[in-house]
Amino acid sequence: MEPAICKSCLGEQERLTRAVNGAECKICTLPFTVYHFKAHHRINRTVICYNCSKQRNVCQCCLLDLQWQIPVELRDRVLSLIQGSEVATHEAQNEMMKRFIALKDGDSFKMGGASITSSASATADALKQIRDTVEAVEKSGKAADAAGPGRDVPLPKNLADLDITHLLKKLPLKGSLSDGTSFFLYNIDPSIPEWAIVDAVTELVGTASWKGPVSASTIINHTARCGGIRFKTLELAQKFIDQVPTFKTEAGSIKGKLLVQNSRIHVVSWSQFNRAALGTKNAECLKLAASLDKLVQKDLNSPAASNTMLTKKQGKVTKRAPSSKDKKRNRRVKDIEL
Amino acid sequence: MVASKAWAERSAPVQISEAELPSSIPPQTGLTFNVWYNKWSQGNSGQSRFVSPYRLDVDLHQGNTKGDKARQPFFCLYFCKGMCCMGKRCEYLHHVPDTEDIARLSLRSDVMDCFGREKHSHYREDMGGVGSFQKKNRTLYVGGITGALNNQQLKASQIENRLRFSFGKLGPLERIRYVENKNCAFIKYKHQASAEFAKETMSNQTLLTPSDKEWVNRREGTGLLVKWANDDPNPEAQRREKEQQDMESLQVMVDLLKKDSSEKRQPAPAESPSNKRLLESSAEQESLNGDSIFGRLSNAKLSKLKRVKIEENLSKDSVEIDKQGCGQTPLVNYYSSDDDE
Repeated sequence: MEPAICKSCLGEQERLTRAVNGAECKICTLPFTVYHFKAHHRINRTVICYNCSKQRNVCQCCLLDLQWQIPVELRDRVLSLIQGSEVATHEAQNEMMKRFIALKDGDSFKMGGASITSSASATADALKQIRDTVEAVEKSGKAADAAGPGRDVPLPKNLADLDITHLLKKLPLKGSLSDGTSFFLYNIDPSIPEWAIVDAVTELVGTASWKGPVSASTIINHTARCGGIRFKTLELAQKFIDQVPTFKTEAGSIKGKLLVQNSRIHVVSWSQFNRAALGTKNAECLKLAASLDKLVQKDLNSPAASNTMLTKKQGKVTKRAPSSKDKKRNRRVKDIEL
Repeated sequence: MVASKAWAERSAPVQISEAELPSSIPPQTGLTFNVWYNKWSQGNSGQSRFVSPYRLDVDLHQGNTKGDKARQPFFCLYFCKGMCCMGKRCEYLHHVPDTEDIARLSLRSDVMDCFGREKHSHYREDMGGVGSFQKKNRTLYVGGITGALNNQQLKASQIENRLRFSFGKLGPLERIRYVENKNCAFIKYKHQASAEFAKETMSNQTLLTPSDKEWVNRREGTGLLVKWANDDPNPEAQRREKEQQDMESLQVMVDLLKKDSSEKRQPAPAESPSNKRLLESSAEQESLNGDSIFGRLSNAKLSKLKRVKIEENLSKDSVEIDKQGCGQTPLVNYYSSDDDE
């Protein structure tokens, strides 16, 4: 019986060493025939039994899908997306159920998406469906592109009488992008990860060593949708100020806008960089996010745009789009290179 | 990403000398010592918490080792605990995982963690240990914060700052959430390997800094408790996670298509017209299929995928070159590792 090992694990190796009942299968806990082999300059071995791998259509070594080389979880998600019904591989939690599943024959009993990826014709059908999905998304995407990320975070009622003036006092709400080594960021979408912001700043400054060595240099409070960054030296901060795109608000102050993953983060100088000012309690953070939202609304009503609001805004969108795409493309290219 | 590779220029220093190594036998807590499990049995076998006397200093201890030359994908477990006595002679890597390493690890990352230890099918009861291969978990639970501060009272923002500083050095963070009334924190990394590395590095470490006056007595406290986190029950976070997963699966779908078409192209280049026909016929079905799919994909998501597609097309040229380099292209999350061949 041939073990089910994928091409990327096995490589060019043809010599396998068999050990009958050599180990316990990691999924069904029954003893199975282990195969050892040397590939890519190191020793590799099978970790699950042949029957388990058949049931899930995975490689016995790397546990990735034999057809698509993706993890089981991801494969099931892709298939449930194209089929419209939930596809999932539910692993047995207790000993009895593990035995029960292990007794089923792997040729006829398939778990989750394995029934599709194990047969060539079903896989071809699935690929066709995937192609349809992607093409359709491509077409309809054009219309949807103009719609910004919808944000509808309802504010709990009991927050109205919460006092956060002690926080607002420490934040540069009326500030502008002038000088100093630390900056206050707001209008951060909660879905933006911290590393994306760090990467964006790194790209602007041109060096990864802008972070101070002695304490945290990036602080993001996702609940309050704001954060702060601090540069090691004044020169780096000045470079950041020069590089970051700016805009003018109604009050006449100049603020920076950092473009991260298709959303704009507003940047102002913040002389007293302070974590405590970003709020610590959940209610505080939510209230702070709400009041910063108002500030963002005020920022967006730029003086020139007040009369021709609509046209101006559209112009801004088109102007902004290429740069953000550029950046994203760059990042993706880098990811692929890696 | 512009990674600072300062460590690559120098060889790794010896963290502690061999003579200073602690005994491999843990302090006696039972009557007999079980050599198989390396534990004391009979008696109070309760987990003894302690503060490790060694600590990884990211700036000082990184360096290249024998492992770098041998293209070893795994990291040194002793290095991350700050107690590798081998220095540059170590067979494993002595630096913090960066994107390049994660690409190299990705071939094995479903079965092994970043130290080359085998994962299990289920999490341990206490969520400690190596972890599970059935779930990609990038979030760590950090407990025992009071003990790690020797019962010193600090403000919530100060504690978060300390956590952010010490965990942030070990990999790119995605988000940190410190829960004040439970006195625990959840730390999510960009990569799973970073979480694995940080889990071993920060376990049983103190949160005190040399400027604290308790620093000399830091070993009297109990170290941090770092474990794998369960899913966030917050509906907002779950929605975010779902969106991220959908994006990821759409991305994978695009890649599968690309891989499929490249496979078709390779054996018979004449087959391309049939490929085209497939595309045309699919256009007719589109409206049919579109209805079922778009009901469940929000506008924002669609626009995101659209953007992904555009970037894919733009970056196709570079990918094509990569493809020629290594016959099999792994999918986006499983970076190609041509140096493994």
